[in-house]
Amino acid sequence: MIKFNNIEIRFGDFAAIRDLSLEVEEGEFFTFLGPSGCGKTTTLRALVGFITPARGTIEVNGEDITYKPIEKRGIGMVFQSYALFPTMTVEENITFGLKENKWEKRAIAEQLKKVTNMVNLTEEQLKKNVSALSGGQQQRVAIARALALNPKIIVLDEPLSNLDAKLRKSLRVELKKIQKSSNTTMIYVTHDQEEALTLSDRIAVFNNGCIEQVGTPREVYYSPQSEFVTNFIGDTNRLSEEIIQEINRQNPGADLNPKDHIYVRVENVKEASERTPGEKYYRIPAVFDMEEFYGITTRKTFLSGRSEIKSMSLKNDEKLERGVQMDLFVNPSDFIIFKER
Amino acid sequence: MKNLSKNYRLRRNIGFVIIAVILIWAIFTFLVYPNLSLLRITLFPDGTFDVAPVIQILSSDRVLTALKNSFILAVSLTITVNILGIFQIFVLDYYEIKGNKWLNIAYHSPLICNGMVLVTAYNFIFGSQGFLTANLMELFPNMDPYWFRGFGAVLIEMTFAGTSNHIMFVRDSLKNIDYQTIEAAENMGVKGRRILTKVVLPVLKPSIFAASILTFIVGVSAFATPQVLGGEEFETINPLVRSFSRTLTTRNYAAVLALLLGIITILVLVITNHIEKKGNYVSISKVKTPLKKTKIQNPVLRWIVTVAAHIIALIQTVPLLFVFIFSFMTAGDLYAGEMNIKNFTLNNYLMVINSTTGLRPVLTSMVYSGLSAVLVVGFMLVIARIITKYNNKLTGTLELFLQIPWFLPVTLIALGLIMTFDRPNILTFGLTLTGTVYIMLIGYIIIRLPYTLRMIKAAYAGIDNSLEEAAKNLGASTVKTYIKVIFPIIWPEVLSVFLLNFIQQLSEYNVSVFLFHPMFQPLGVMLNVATGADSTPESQMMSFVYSVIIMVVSIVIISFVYGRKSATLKKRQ
Repeated sequence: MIKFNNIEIRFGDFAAIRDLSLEVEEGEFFTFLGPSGCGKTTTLRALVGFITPARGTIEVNGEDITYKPIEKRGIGMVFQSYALFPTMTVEENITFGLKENKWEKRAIAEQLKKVTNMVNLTEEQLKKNVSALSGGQQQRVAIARALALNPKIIVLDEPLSNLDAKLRKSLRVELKKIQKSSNTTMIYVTHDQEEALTLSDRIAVFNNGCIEQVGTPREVYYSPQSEFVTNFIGDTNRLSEEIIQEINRQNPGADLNPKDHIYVRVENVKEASERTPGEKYYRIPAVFDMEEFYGITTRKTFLSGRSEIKSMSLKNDEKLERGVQMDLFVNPSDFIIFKER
Repeated sequence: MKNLSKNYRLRRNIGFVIIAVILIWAIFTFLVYPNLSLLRITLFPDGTFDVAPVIQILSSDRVLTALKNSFILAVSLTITVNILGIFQIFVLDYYEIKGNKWLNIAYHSPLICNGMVLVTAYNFIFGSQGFLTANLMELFPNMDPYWFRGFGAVLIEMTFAGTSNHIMFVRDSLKNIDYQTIEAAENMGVKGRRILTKVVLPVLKPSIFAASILTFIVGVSAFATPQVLGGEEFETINPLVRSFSRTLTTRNYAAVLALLLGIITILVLVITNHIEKKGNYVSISKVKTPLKKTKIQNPVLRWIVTVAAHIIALIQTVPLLFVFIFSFMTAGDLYAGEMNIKNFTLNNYLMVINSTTGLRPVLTSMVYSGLSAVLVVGFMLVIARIITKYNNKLTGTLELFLQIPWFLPVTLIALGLIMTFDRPNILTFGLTLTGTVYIMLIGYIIIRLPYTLRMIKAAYAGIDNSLEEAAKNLGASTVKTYIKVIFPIIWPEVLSVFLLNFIQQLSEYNVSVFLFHPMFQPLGVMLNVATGADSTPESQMMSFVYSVIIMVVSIVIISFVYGRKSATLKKRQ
């Protein structure tokens, strides 16, 4: 188990991480999710040993590793740039750590075979210089290199960010399989919510040097505990005071406070035909403005008075004319409400 | 756990302190102290403050004229070299000009015949006893045999020898221009010359500016060329420093002059640095498109540019060809101005190879150049690593000190060394260095410090930090990480810097002439001796062989270094 206890990391006067505490269970696929500059990579680098916290401790299986030298922590790392040694072949890259740790030749050969099988690298590719490989293949080498020393923990710093969308998706699945088959604890840093939601057992959402929420993908998606998490994960509408007042006018019992911050996810904004029978809905009169066609889904933007409201639906067969009047429906049980402070 | 970490840090700190002590000693002893010592000799000649020698020397007409000449030469040279250099890089990379490959080779000639080689060539072609002069005298018996002498001769020789900064640095800036910016200008209706002046030249401005500063410094501290081609009517500061430094009674005059030159150079650098800070351009292009050549639309202009480009190429290469031919001629034919192939001989080469005195300058230069190149690269591998890894005020100061040889004239550095270490000194552990074989080696190392530091620092800066982190993460120690990961990456650049340092020192004259050991005269000094009025025919003929050796070694090394660079570039593209 990994434990961060009241960690503070400073760069001069700037506190990049403030009083961070977190626990990661053994064998978990755990993701640090957040926007650029929120401190997720800094926390990861403190775990690996590249940064020493100004305050607090880091424990792995009960051992305080805060001041332990990097090479003695037994944590494998996959870098954003892959950090493959350009003067070496694929094989030399993968076995570098094994040789440095003085493994026997036979053991090195066996381990090489094992990890290259895990990441689907061929014998032929092993003899190539790393610069001769494609981005996806280089990524596999980076993962194999991190796996080679049999670390109990592997950290991955935005490892898929340099790949194209299709390759990213396929490697994502493989990564998950590798994690399960190797039974390692993986800590994954990303700013991509889709990656975080699809891969993780649990997610820590970072913002401004602090953790906003820790939970399973479903928890952070359906029960966000802060406005930041609500906005950062998924696609949401914040209902304007104008819309809330309109709902209150039409539904005297609704009793919504226009000063509260009320959010509703785009997929929960329905057109008349999409409503679930028996459910209670509030009607929002709107005018169609524009659409973004994604193939499987269509994201539509409407105007209700001067306020914008978006919907996302699987229904994408009809093309609406701009300015068409339309009623939208929202279910109060889908509301995510943050009370006025 | 904290204790373990403390021990580890302590061990690292001890290593760091040892390196720091050695560095501080070396920098103070060889870079700072000699110049302070020179200042002391100048202003405190008898232990008390006395500006009399300064006033005395500044009231000398000869000195004032030399100062004026140096300044005029520097300004004129900056203008002419810029005109020629910019023309050359545009001909090579911006415009479609026929014969580009040949022009490319020809325009690289200043890199292979730096310093004394070209001066020697000009002297033996255009000088009073030169090959061309001898032929012209046949046709025009009343002409002045010293027709190629003075300001004009110095300016011409130094202009054609001075475009190396343009070929190396300004050309790189031109090649790095994102072609999409030109296409964008075209897309907005801008054409030909306007694109050149509004888009291309402004981007080149910082590198042209840097090349201009270097050219100005070369001009103001010109040594060998005015000494050989300037004659009595065009004397500049450095030859004067040299002649004053020869006798003990006038040595402090030499020191005053050298300091004066240093002050001028520093002033120029401070002013230009201030101006330079006002404008610098960094490409913000995410996806760069390589520069495409433009065709000059006007056929007459195209023809004029093509002819001019080839004439310049001939002017730059013919003197070198002549040196090559002279190396096979007899002294008699040379003086008579006759080129008879039947009389061509290998005797000059045999004279060099078969005699100890003939071969010694070659071996001396090879050993000094090789050793200094190895040592300076070795030192800078450590120092540049420290500077790039620990970016703080201390390393900033260290870097500034290592730049001293860049902004001080080499004569000042050389004079500082011989006048400081001419007696036992506590900083050199009681050793006297002046007159020993070591002092020239020290001088060679010092003058290559700024260039080597800059290049190796750039090589380190190009390495992704995560490579080092990855190696450490995989269990490699700091030393192992350096040997197995970092050094193999920078090795090609290190080799290039070593080789370029080596050829730069091969015909070095400015420092050598002050510091050489009488038993081991380097090639630069031997070439200069051969241009003297009292030189023997043998030494003159051997000087051609020396020049050919220098040129051949330089060509091989430059082809290797730049050939590999362009191959790497092509591979990447």
